Amino acid sequence: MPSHNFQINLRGIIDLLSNHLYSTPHTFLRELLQNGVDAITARLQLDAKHEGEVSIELVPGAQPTLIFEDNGIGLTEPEIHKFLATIGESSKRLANNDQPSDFIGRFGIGLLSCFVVADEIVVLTRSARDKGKVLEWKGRDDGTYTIRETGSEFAPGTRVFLRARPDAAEHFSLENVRERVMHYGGLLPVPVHLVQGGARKRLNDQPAPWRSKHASRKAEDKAMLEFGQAAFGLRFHDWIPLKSKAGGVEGVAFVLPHATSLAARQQHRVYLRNMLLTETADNLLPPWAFFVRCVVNATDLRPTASRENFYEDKSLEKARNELGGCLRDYIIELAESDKDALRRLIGIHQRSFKALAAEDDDFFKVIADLLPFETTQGLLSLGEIRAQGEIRYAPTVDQFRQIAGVAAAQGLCVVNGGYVNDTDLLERVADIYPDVTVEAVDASDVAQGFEELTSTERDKAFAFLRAADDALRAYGCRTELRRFQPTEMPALYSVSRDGEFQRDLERTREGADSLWGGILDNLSSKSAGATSAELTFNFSNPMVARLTGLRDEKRLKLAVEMLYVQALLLGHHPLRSKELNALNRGLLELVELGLEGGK
Amino acid sequence: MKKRDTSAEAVEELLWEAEDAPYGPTKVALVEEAVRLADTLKNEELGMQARTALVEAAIFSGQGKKALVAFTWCLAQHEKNPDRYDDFDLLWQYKWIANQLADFAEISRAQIENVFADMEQQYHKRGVGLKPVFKIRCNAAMTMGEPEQARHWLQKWLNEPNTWASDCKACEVDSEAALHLELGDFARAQQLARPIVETRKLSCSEIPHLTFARMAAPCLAHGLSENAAEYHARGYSLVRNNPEFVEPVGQHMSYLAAVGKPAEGLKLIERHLPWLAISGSTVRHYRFFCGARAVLAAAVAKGLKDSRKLRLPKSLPIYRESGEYSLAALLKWADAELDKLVRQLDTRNGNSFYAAQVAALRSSTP
Repeated sequence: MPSHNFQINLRGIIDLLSNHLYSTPHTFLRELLQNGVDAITARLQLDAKHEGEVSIELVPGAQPTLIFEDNGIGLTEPEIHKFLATIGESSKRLANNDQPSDFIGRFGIGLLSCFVVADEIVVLTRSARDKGKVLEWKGRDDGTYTIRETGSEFAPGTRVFLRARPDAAEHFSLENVRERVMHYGGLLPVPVHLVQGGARKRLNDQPAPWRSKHASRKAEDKAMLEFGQAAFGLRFHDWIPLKSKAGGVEGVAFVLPHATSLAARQQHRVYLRNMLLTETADNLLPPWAFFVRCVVNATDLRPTASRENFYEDKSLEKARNELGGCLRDYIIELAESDKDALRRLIGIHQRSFKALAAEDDDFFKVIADLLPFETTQGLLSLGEIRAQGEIRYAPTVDQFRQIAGVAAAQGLCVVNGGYVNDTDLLERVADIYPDVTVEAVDASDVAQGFEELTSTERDKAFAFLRAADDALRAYGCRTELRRFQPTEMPALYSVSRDGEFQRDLERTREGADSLWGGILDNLSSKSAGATSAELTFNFSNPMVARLTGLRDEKRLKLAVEMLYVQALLLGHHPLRSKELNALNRGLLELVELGLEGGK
Repeated sequence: MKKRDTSAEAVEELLWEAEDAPYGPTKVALVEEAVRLADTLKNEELGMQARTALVEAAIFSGQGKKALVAFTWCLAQHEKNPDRYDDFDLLWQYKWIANQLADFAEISRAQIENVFADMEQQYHKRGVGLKPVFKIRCNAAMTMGEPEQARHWLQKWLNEPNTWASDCKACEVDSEAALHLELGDFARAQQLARPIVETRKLSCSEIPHLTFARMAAPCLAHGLSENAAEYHARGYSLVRNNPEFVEPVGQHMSYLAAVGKPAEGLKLIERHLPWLAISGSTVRHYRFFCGARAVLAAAVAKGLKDSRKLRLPKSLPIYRESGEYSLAALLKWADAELDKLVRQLDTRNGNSFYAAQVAALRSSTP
């Protein structure tokens, strides 16, 4: 038989495979296993009673040889030509993330990955269909190949011979091959044997724990948690069974024993038809499910060309929903059966649970009372907060910080709604408990609750209040005088979010050209008369109390302006230019006053 | 209580924290805090970095005005120190800013035109092709009720070659589909949207979110009720947690009204009405009220019990302490709001595009 040519740039495809598609060179073992298992599956369709088997023999040496054998369907000569043709088309298809879907096509692509470790591939095969000729295909990485008939005795199946390239010998060691085969094929139901020097040992003798029968619930727990530890090197306490009809997914999720962040990438170990697909699948579970790592097998999801993740399609989406449902139902069931366990989980994974609660009304209903929130009275569960009747929250971390001290001093419980999902969840509490009022508060709401002055005190402070109003009108800030804790605090500045936006807008306007400045003017709130900023002086503060007795208008103005600017700075409000001017002018005046006093 | 750290590192830390947060008011608040802190430190470079983050966070969280203010500041910095900052963000973010201008009725036609001219110049000056500008001009023309102008710019946009500053393929195709739908060509829109909603070859951070919402009601109207139901179910879960999606929520309400599920629509009104206080965009509010109005009209027509307990924001003029609302009264209110928005838009645009659209809407629903 003549020597044929691939008629393709084989080197290019090998480079594509090794450099772009496969992240490690030992993927050739995965590909060989996959080919063997696929061949056995095809043979089972011919003969349901056939007992499939794979064996891998190693012949050590300077350039060790690996012989991979399966008793699967085998190939006929036309099929060999077909897989060669598929290879010819494959560079374009692979670049398009498109896998050949038929067995023969995949066989060819899988075989090519062997060129990453060997210069020559020899395949002996005999088809179970025609039980005819034994064929030998010999391909080299320069793109040439030969096909010939051989006389050797050979039961139907396929045998692949690889001689390691000198730089790839390490991939042919007993330890490495055993480890990689277990890694990729540990869950395969087909027996896989490793043979060296006459010794023959079955590698995959433990089925997946979710497929095994366990003597008791306790034994099952133990088996699962040990499996999880072996898979991820972490000591887990909780596991959740996973099952999805869509995609044919089955497996187990392990609850991480430590907190994780929203941004942490999900990393799951995923098998496709019992062959390891990837350990870094990140799109199998809904985004909120970052509190688990799972091991699953899928029979009917489509891998990406690199076989390192699943392809985003409808069945993946359905499977994701079903698997998310498993996790959710488990938590809901815990709320019934083991509240303490659930509390412990929420303690570690509140971010994950809040993210789910934000998406899922029913779930939120079940666990709402257990979710923790930061408040001015420390970390409280929603149940404890709700027991106080009214829920007040600050919508941003900044607003919370601005009022936390004052609110705590007045004995007010204010929740920090500034973390991800918190405001959204608090706002929805009333959906579940209609008699609870939920209200966003800012500093001015807190100030509303401060103790009023008596009318005599007010009369005495009248001149001060008028001077204060006059002084701050130019800054669009109203003034108020109340008594509040802590007494060291002379004044509390409060501004609504609209007011704050208006401040930012005005500061930006100061540096903008006429085009953008004009646009900002148009967006600026037209009702600037209704100022939303307010400075509440604290009559309980001794200095303020003394100020209310001062009659010197000039000094009053100076004091009020300086307290105003100080309150702005304490609240981290950047100054507008007129406030900056007031600060500079005021400092100089204070120095003057000091000099006068020294005279 | 932890005292706040006020160093430059604190700004960076806030920005990191914000980066982890999903789009929404929380993220915007974190970045705003970083901006204010950078300003109190008088650190212009940090101010620039934080504002660039704010433009992005605000745009994708539906707070366009905040993005516009932050961008204005960045632009002024670029003018002041042309060599200190990278052009990439300027040109890239300019698209987001320019593309939303027409949505605010407060911004005049002349101002919009001047910004487009400025944008062209900024692109031209840096040797970057004008495809993004043409696309934005096309969108703006449609928003301002000028379909012929929109067609004109559509041709220029599609004929122009791609550059690094072009939108991603998903956004390009989605925008084109949106335009054809606005122009009344459902078949073309549906064909264009196929790789987004059916084969799912195209997606990005806002696609298919926008596409599902936009296609649901029209599919129903064209007898594709199964697709419509799927787009609604899948699409709504994508948009329900980010106030950026005021308009898609309005479109989902339109779907629920049309498919005869006004009770579900009422839930959406209750849940998303507070978003309007965040958004401030005339066009988005308009679309929201189109949906809300349709839901309320359908509820009244279906004979749902008129008195209903709803949690509506206190800031609304129709707010009632008791939480008891009359559906008929709410419909009247929604219609009045719609009329107000229509007046603002048509006045700015100088035509009666939205008045006609609303008239058609009202005549087609009870």
